[in-house]
Amino acid sequence: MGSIPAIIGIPESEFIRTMEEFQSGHRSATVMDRIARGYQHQDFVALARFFKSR
Amino acid sequence: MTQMSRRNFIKWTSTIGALGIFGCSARQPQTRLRVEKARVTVIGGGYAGASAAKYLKLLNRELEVTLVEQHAHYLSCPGSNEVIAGLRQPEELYREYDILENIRGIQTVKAEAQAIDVNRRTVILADGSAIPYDRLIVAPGIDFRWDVIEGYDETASLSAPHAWKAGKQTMLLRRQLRYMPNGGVVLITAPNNPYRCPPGPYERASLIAHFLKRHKPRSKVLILDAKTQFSKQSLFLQGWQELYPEMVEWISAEKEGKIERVDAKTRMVYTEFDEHRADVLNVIPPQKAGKLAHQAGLTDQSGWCPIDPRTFASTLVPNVHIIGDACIATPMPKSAFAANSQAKVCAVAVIELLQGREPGFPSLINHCYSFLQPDYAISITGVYEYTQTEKQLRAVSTGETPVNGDRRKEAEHARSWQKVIAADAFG
Repeated sequence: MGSIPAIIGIPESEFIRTMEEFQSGHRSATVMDRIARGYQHQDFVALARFFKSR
Repeated sequence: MTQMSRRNFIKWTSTIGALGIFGCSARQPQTRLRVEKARVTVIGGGYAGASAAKYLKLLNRELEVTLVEQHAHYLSCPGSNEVIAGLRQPEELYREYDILENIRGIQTVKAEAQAIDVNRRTVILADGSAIPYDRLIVAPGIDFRWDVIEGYDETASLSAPHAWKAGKQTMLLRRQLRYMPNGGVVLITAPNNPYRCPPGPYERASLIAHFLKRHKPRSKVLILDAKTQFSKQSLFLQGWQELYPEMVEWISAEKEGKIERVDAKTRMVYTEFDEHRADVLNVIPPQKAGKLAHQAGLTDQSGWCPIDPRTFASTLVPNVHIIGDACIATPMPKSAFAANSQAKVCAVAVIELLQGREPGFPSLINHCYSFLQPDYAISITGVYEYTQTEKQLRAVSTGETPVNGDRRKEAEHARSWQKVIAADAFG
């Protein structure tokens, strides 16, 4: 809804790579870089699985 | 990204599978568990209560979920500062319960919950009838401490509005701004921590300044603070200098001391060391947990509800959970975002407990936007984890809008978030 991008249905590998790029600062962000820093690799793996299946 | 409490879904993946979470598919029929006859009652239909009721049903549609709320609809506090400043219409704050009732299968009861019978496990309504529960989730929001600032009680709020619960008070403050003279002073008093929406008073000051700049440009906004510092302080101060130079002034408690007395009729505020006269006076009073929490013995001497944030279960009363602004979930702020995250953690934990399972260790999140003008917003973020030793939450990551951050983009996200949170809680 609106300007926040949807994440449902993103392929797992793409989700994990994107979140880790936000976390490391290699991908520029408005807010997701700050959020990504609160999680670890295994969190992104589980999230990727969850959102892919939605 | 949606506001899922992500680590829950990680830690509790096995349960999610077993419960056939989010409805069942034809290939995977829902496992019938003891939980299916269980009754969960939720009191309070704000962001916390509505989210909890909805997610309980999503997690297990066999569960009997009842939502007790005294009002026919909810009025959102997020967005209410924009209504005050004339940027939005009041109708935009309305949140309805019809989708929860008709599509989600939640039984809604329009009544005021007056007491909890802990032994019989029932909620007593104002008309004397009782609603049974196996587990109860209480989300009563806030109430005001009318006894702290001399002269500021509920009657005084009819001339000097608090506008800290959306509704008539929001409209009163909006009207007063429209009729104040050009060159007048809007005085906002901000309370000590903890209170609902920590950056709210400063967003309000900003949006009022935005209104005044266009319509009454010789006017001023003065914030008299009971604190010596506040949420997103440097970002607000920077923004005020940029957008409203000489127009917004913040006065720290360090300078004036306690806010001692208010005369709502003459619109005077007396601090320890000074006094101020306002044309529009907005007193945001100190707060405590909503009325029912006190009546049901869920509060401690602080006036808020102590909980174990692993499940949001009360540490004082068995089988009762408290979520949202009323609970003590330090260091999470009292916000709609936090309430929504807590509701999801609580919903999963309640189902675990009903099945006699050990709940997992949750992760929670908060992200609060504040508008300084319609195309300029800033935000603060926190990701929290449960610490097993202290049985408390700990911030694992926090952050604010960077100094050179894209405030226009954040304003777009802020507007998007208001839609997303409304749909997630009430849709």
